[in-house]
Amino acid sequence: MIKIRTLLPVLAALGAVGAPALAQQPRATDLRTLLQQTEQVRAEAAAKFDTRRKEFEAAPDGQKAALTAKAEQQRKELDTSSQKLADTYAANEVRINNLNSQLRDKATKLGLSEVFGLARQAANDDSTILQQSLISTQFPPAAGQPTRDEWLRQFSSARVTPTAAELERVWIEMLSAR
Amino acid sequence: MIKIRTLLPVLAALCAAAPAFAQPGDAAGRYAQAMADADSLERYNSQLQEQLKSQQAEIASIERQLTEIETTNREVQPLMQQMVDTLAQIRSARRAVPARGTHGPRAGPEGHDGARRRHGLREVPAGFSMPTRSSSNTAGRCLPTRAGSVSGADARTVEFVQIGRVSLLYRTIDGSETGYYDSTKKAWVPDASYKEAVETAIRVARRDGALELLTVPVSAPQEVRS
Repeated sequence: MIKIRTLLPVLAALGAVGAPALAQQPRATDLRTLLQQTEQVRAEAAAKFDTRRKEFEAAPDGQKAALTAKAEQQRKELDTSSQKLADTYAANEVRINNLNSQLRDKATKLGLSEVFGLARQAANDDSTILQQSLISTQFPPAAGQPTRDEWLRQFSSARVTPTAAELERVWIEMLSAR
Repeated sequence: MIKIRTLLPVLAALCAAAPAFAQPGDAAGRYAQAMADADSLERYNSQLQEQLKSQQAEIASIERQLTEIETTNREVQPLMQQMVDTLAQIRSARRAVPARGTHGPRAGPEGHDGARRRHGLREVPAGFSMPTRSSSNTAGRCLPTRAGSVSGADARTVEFVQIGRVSLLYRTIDGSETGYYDSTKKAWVPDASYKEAVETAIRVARRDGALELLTVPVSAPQEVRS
């Protein structure tokens, strides 16, 4: 299966073509506007290309070779830099996969995988009960804190391993909901 | 749902942006193309660097979890023991709840506050008893009824009906008097205007009648608790 993460460099490259110019425009609310904006980006890029051609043609003949060399040197340096970044990205991906495997293995070895799974399942079930409860509004969360059902939902869908404090809170919320 | 077919013109326009200067030709074209490529590579590198930062954060997070999971393992054992002990306490507390139909003050270890929680009401009259509702969800939706007596100077045998969490009503056995429990005054208040609602509620609770909308006295919320 192709992971989204694997496609990120491709998306970054695609985004690099027109994203900055698109980002400066108001957000498109329909496909027709999006198409117009995309066409506008293309027109702006073509205009910039023409401007640079004219700048080059207007330069003294003695400087033209230097201008071209400088531009090609800049492109080469950025290309090298790009390659290095892409290599680092790929290496990081391998490292993340290895670390995730280590974490899963460690949780299984310690017998915590099942505990975490059950806690997440119970949190998800109880978040539904609390969401449907008719008295939830009588027990508001502290200022700036998520509601109890929101917290349980976040816990159940979190990717990080739970801490003992979080497991204890799930237990307390379950007792409160009964 | 947006179909891929609908997005094709947009994708076509995006892809068309690059070939516009893909054939530089002369020296001016080569220069302009090199500059355009440099711009594009600069933006690409900038985005890649953002992704690398995100990767570094993820690596740091997993490394932290690898350390914390050992702490969690140490702390989970006593926590689970505490959970098991608490479960035993909850079971013994539930066994102490009087059976349905028991009159008089509750003798459970949780006292009056426990009764209020069980019934899901904001305020429960002293000595009042209804079938236990263990879940917050069902307590808010149940419609139990039972016979009992209204205490006070003029004690009389009545039939109670609890409307979820919002109202507690009664009707005397001969049907001559109806009323409700006023949680503000902490007293039973006779009120003939709810006679029809109470009779309908009792019929619905006994499953003698179809479900109907009921007009019942409701205390306005006065405070919230956290």
